[in-house]
Amino acid sequence: MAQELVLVVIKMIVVFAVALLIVAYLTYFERKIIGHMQLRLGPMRVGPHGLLQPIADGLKLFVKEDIVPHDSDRWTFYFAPILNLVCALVLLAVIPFSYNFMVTRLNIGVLYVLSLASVGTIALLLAGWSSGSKYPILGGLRSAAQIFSYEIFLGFSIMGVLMISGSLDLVKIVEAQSKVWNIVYQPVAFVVYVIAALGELNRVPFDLPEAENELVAGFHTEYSGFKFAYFFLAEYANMIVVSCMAVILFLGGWKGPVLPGIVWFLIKMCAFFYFFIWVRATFPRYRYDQFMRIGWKIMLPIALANIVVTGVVMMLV
Amino acid sequence: MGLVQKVLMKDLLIGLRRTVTYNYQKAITMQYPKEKWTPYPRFRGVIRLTHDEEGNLKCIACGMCARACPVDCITIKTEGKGKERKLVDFVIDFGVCLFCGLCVEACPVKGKAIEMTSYYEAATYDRNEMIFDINKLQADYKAWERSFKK
Repeated sequence: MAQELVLVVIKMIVVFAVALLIVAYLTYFERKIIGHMQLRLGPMRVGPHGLLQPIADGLKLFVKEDIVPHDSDRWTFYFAPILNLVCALVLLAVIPFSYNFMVTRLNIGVLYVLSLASVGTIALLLAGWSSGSKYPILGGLRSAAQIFSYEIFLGFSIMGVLMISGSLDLVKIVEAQSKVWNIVYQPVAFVVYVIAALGELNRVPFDLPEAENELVAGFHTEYSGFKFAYFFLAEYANMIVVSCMAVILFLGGWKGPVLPGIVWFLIKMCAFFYFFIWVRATFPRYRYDQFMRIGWKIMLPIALANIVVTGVVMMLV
Repeated sequence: MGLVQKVLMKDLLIGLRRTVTYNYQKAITMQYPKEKWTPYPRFRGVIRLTHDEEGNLKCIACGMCARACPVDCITIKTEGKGKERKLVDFVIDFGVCLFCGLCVEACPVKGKAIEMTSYYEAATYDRNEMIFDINKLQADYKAWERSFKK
């Protein structure tokens, strides 16, 4: 019993330490890749090829002044970034990085991820509300509206995969893809999932809650120093979770020839990181009405049709 | 745009292809203090005084350049009269200079007594340091250029 507990604690520490390291270096690679996509070099000065830049950034945020606006709701203002980061990191507990490397195995893993991912949005709403100024509250409200419309077809896009694998357990979903990855059976659902994931992540082209040229910085306008860093870390941690989920649901998780499972998992995850950064470097932000139209009028019907088609095919085969 | 193209998100894919090709091109950024830009042959940088074969200044102290200068940044001090006239000091205030090159064009000496070099790292913290006297104007700027030219 005690041995098991120690093992779980060690796994937790490894997963969270690696996740935070990946988060720190995601910011570096994001700047580097976007730089090269714009024919620039990105960070170059701190360390060889700017490799120590994330550490310098972290130190800078750590020593910055901690400002709380006069009109803010003080406790909620402190609570929101913590809630956001905790919700993002807690999700990593159920992600199976390989067949026997995960913090805990839940038989309702998909449900857990979907539900806690939307609790993170409440933190954005709280942040917007408690800041006590107009831009954050607009950002927070947009974030709430965004999650309403994108959570729905995110859930529906996963439905097809769940029908094929017949389980909410993430390990069983991966095991069901031993022969053929789900992306072959569910290409439409995959595209819908990726678009919904971009909306869920509040990233370009759907970064409406922080739309810097309309709302200054949206929900985190009033945040500075380490409280801002919490939001920043949470955004990138969410990116890890969404990429992991995409790998598990559609790309066969740790399945792959020759290399050990965890390496395959990380390779597939990195491909998703690259894709998200690539999209950010390419597209402008959608207007709010366009964004809502895509969600409700295009993606939701497609996701529903996908479920119907999957059901009919499964009945016939 | 046709329906098929819209469904396949053709325009979005074109955009993605554009950025990914840029990703694998060479960046045009120049890491300035580490690597330096080589000026073009007719670049107008800091002015210098030239020497003849014996190593004397070519300048005959006629004052044509000072008169041609549109901002009066050239000051020439002379000694003696007529054929005895000698150059004592030649001062250019680069804090005022336009780098227009009219002084070089005005110079009547064969092969030009003053010329424009390619030197461009003349920024200083004090404006007085931009006033170049006769000694500073004879510095070898070609050596500076040789230091980084490939």
